[in-house]
Amino acid sequence: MGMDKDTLWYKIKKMNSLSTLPEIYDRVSDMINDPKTSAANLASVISRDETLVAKLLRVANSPFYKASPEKVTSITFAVALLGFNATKNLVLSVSIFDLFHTFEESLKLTVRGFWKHSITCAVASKIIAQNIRYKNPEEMFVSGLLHDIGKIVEIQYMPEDFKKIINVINSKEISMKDAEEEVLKYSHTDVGKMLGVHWNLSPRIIDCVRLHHIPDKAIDSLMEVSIVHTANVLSHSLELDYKVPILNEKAWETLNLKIDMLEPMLKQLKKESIEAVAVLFPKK
Amino acid sequence: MGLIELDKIEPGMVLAKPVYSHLGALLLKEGKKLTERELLILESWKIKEIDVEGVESSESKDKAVSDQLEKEELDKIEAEIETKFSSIPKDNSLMMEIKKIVKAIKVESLLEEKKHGNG
Ligand SMILES: [Fe+2]
Ligand SMILES: [Fe+2]
Repeated sequence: MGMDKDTLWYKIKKMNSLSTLPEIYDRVSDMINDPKTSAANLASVISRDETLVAKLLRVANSPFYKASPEKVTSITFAVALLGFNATKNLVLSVSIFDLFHTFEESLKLTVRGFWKHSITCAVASKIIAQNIRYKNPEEMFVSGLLHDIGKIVEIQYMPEDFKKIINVINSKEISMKDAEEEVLKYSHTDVGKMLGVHWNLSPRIIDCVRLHHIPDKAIDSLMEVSIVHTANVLSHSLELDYKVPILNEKAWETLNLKIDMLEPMLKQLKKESIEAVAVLFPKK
Repeated sequence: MGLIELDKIEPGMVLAKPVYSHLGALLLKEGKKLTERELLILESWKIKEIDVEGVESSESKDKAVSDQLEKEELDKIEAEIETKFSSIPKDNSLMMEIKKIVKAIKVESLLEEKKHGNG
């Protein structure tokens, strides 16, 4: 029997490596919630971390993120151009990788594969969002990036259970989600939701994490969940290892995209995801 | 005879070699005289270059023919994609469309890789 949900929830809250988001993200969030914060205040806080600034500007101007049609040359300009929320999402998108490090040697490759898939799904979510003229493509980027975050919690906190899950997948040829249900009685979508709630992420992002395998169940965030669900299918279709999940009809209809758009979107995804992995998760 | 890029092709030229799609289907036979119709076919299949009679290859791209994918390589991609999509019902037209596009992308990127790899 794997670790039960309550124990996991307790662990998530207690362990400090995971339980807190990157400090800078917390600070940015707090500032944004304070009506007295000005763009200049926010920019000056972010500017204290030079490495972060360099990365933010690089990502903001990359074709795969393309936060604005204009070149973003400074953090002050970025905040003014993108607005508070987009800046917050951008900060989270570049700093999330620093949270997870203490992995067993035998799981290192799995972890790399995990981030590659997450980044691909983030780029796919952004591409779809732009194609349907969704209002916050950068929130979709972060939702795609976090959609499977529960898996990395499993890898970090329950490596033994995780290995069991992998064995079940290989021997029974079933999906990750079904294998998790068998070993744990819950899956990465439940774990991810816990983390999202604990981190105080937006309800839309939490819905994407929670419902990306069952978009029919989405109510308030049907559009957002449909974007991430479709992005996940497109990402898997381009990746080598796993079987492709079926695209849910309701999700596809919700996007209201022409089938002719699949080819240009997949080609763009192929190109931009390689670039995004190189920028966000470089080999060390 | 020479391999030339699609934007240098003009109606009236004659194919020195048959043209195949990236997936190996015969599109145009050898000896075919190119008219607007053939150009349209080449364009819609996104064929980048063809072999025509009486034209010197702009660069020494004749060896590009040997850069084309071997049958085993195509088979490997085919097999890989079949496995990936094995649990998808064949009448799911949306998924079959994705499958077709992914296959074309894989073939294309392998061709790219080879071109760069062979210098
Ligand atoms: Fe998932
Ligand atoms: Fe996924």
